[in-house]
Amino acid sequence: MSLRLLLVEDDRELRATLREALLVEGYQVLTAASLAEAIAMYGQTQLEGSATQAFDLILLDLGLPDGEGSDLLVKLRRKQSTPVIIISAREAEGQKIRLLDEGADDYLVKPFSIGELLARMRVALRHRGNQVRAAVTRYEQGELVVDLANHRVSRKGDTVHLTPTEFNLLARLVRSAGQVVTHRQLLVDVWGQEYLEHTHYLRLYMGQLRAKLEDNPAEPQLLLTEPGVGYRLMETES
Amino acid sequence: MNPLTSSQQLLRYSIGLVIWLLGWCLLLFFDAHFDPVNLSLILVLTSALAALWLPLSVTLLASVVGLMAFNWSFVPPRGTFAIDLHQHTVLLIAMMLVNIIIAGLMVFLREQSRRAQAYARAAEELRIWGDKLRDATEPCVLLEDLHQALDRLAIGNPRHPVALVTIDSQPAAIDLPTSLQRIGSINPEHEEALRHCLRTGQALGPGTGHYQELDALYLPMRGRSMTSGAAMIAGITSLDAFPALTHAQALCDQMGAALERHHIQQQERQARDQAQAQTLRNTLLAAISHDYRTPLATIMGAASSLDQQGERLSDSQRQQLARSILDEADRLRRLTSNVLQLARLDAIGGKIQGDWESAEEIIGSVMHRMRSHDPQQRISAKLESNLPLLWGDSLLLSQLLENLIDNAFKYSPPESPVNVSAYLDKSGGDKNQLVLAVRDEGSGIAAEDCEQIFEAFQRGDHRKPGAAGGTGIGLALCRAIARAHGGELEFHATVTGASFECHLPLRAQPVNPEPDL
Repeated sequence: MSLRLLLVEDDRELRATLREALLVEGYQVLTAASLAEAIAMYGQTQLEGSATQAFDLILLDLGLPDGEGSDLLVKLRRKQSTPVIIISAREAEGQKIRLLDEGADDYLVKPFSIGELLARMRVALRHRGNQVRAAVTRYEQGELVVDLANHRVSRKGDTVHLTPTEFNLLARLVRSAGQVVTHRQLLVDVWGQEYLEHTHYLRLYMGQLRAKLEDNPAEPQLLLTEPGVGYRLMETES
Repeated sequence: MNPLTSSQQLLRYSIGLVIWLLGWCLLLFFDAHFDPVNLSLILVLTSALAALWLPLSVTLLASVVGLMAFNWSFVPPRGTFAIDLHQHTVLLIAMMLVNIIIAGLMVFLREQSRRAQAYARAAEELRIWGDKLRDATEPCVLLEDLHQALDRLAIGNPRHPVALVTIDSQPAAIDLPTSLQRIGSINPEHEEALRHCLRTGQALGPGTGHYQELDALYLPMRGRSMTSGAAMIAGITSLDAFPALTHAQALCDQMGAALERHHIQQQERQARDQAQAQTLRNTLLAAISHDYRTPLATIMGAASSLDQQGERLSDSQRQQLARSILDEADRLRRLTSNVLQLARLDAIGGKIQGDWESAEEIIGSVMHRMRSHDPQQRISAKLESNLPLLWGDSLLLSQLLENLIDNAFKYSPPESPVNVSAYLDKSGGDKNQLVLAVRDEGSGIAAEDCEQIFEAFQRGDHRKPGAAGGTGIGLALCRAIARAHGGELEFHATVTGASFECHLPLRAQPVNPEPDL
């Protein structure tokens, strides 16, 4: 059975273009042009808590004629873990970070290419329902193997020694492989709530990790930087 | 000049008294051995020495009393004021005159040296004060120091409280009650006089030649062309009560000059900011009126061709048209992004929201994104190891690098390498700079052409050839980004091509966590 998508976008041209492109990829696409329409499509009962999810993924525009798309995200996140990808023309980093922290799976700034959107959707769908499934414990990409359960990291077959902090940081990124993890999320999860402002810790430890895990730290292939927002561990090819 | 404090005075009287006592002891001691003529020399010596310490009146009194006591004790007949020999009368009168002359000379000399010292002290204080004012970025913060200095001149006497007012902004606003910054307590009468002093730039009060009957001294802080403030020393009824008038006025005038200088600098900065805002707006307008039309024309052409001639086109032709739509749309995207960032920098007045950023990460993310436009692998990156962290906006800095790389692609032959690097520039002494540089190995842009590209956009004049394709707006943004970070974008023609370097100042580094093992 094909995956069901909800596309919430008020611009007619863009909505039609995206719908066509997604249909070609084999998704089942429902569209909404306003917040009210989206909520109606979802069904009030669905929104307020039901085990079965009406959609497998939601593409959500922010500036809708009758309200902010982020309202739907907040409502949704109270009960459900349906992946949400924000598509917006707004580029303010502050908002990007806030929405990611509020539970959006990804944030694409318009304009974007279909290829980019599909790649982000694949990652979001892979992480779908992580809360119920067994957590990711193994990451393999190129020559790097990270085995979280056994605390082992190897590169080109050789064991790489990581300090505890380096390992915790890498593990946090592995659990969200392919997704952006904001500075805030990393600092809170690895160091703790009181280290929220210590972005320079991240710069230091990410530098150390790159030096140990990348061929050319000046052009990283695995530990990618999202300027002003956070970091993204390259998604696995599988 | 500085009057003496009471404890100093007490010390001087004590020393004078001790000298007289010692002198008298000597007289008694030598009485058995010498005649009165010789003894009288000891008396003259004692009186002269004591004059070094005692004031004129006391010295004179002491010498008269001493002389009479000498007459009583040592001049025969002893025990009376009568004098037997005429020569002793002459001796006593001569001694009296000598004593008076010596005392007068001593006091005069002492006064001279005290004045010289006071002048030297005042000059030194003025020099230090001048240095302090010159070093201060905001002279207003030194008003408290001026208050203390004037208070010292008034010997910290509570009967002479000191107060200051300065004008915050426009000199025209003297009469608005809110326009003055105040230090010290000021009653309405004082305030009126201070305002008058501010308006006229004249000192008022005793000893100043204006409104001598006032019971306080009002000193203006004068610059070359404006009076920026005024000081008041209350409870002064005559010039004698405050002899340091000239010195106090000099301190105030130095403050006035510094405030005026600061005011002028502020005006200059505002004018410069306005001019810069104007050029930014011109730049935006130029970009919108010209740079958008070309890619839009291509997109419209290609899309309408697909729309109307679709069936008559071959697959490869359709592919080609779609490709140019994509490329031009991407060009528009970058152009829009540049324009938006310029507008944003304009709106926030060039004040960025910074965080600690690593040059390695900025270059890394730029390399990652630029690779998709770089099928021939022309870009390479080189970083010095252990570079310090930058304080800045990583999005803006990445955009700066992307624009420079774009530029290098455009202005160097296909397949020639483009090098991105980050290194520490230690040529600035202890002020190290971090440099983000993009070098190409093309024919480069001739230095004057490059300056033209910068300049054309500075003026919003877009007719220069060579500034085509949005290069100018990209460079204008790069320069604006570098400046918003307190740095500068420099262009250097190298032997092999062109080099754009963004020099960024470094901040004191944050404290790193303890390394874990």
